[in-house]
Amino acid sequence: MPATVHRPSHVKYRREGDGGLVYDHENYGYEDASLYRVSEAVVDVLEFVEEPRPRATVEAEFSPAVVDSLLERGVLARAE
Amino acid sequence: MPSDRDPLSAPVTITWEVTLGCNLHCDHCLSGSGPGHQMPGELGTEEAKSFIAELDEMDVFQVNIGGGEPFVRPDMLELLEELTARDISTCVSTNGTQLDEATLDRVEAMDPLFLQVSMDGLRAENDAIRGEGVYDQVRDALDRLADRDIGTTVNTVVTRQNVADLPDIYDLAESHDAGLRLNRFRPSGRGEDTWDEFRLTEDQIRFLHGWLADHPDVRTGDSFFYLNALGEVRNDTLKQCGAGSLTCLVDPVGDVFPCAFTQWDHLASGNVVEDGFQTAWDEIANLRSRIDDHEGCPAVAMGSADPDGEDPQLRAILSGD
Repeated sequence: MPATVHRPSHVKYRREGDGGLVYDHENYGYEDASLYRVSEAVVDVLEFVEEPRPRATVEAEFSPAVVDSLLERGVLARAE
Repeated sequence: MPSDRDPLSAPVTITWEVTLGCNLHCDHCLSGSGPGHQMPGELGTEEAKSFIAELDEMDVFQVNIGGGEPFVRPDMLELLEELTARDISTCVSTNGTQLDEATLDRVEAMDPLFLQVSMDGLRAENDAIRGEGVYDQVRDALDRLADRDIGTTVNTVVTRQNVADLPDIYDLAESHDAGLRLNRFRPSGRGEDTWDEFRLTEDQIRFLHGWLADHPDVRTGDSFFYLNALGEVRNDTLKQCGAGSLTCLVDPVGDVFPCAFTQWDHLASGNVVEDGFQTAWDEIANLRSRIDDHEGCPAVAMGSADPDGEDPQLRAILSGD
């Protein structure tokens, strides 16, 4: 089975202005949460993986560099 | 980080006080809640569900449920299920006395849902503020929560009387696999009457910030803790004041305010039933200019009637006044 990528449940996002917002929290409250503005492309990726997708499919649609970057930041997660 | 000058289309998080009814009557309660203190016209179940649907449409990420004691509402579990079914992160602040096994069974089935249980000191200090026997009830709830798959945090409002208990509360929370979250005591609700009795002394503030520096895993909730005793940013999270820019407060009847501690009529921006939450949120940007001229926590600055219009405790930290 190919490796897939998906949005972790603790990562939330929405379109905002000409880009988007990503909110990442795993505990009660917002104190140790992260909130940052992202480009529209990141929102496109997150919408694309609303259902888990093969990593190769996501890389083909966007780019390997984008997928690597989002995995590194924890905005995306991988599953085997 | 989004700028205050660029209002968001919707809040990131909201606090929703679902009732002012509570089985306890705490001396420092920020909302002045108590037995039979329900407001006339608190949102009914269908009104609450309509509001939740609008939160979902607006893509609000997180809802912090407070009160009063949320679980005195007969429909509370139904509303929590409505929120979590929409994948809205739901955090419930409870006094811990209403968590029977049947309630915990349903809570455990919900995701994403987190509980925050109040404990304002060890037995003597906690019960002096919250009522006789409450400490033991909360300990029992924490014991049972430790066996459950429910994200749990112990919350302590730091006061002059309990600040010395923090190391023991920290150990107690850790032994129950719960995090510890500290909240600042503010002059709001019954806290207006007990402000001078409960607020920290300057020495205690310095002790607290030193202790926090040694315990970076302790979560803190506002601009007061955003800075350490040296006026340095403790860590780069959402601790700066987000009232009316990142977050807001919805009271039991659906009125919208910048935050839980600024529930004054001149800062109300609308009602989620009469105006709709989107309209009330859009209006709140106009109020932001009335509350952001203060250093530290604007609610403390305004609520404590500081002659300089500042948060006097933060100023003490920054300048040694």
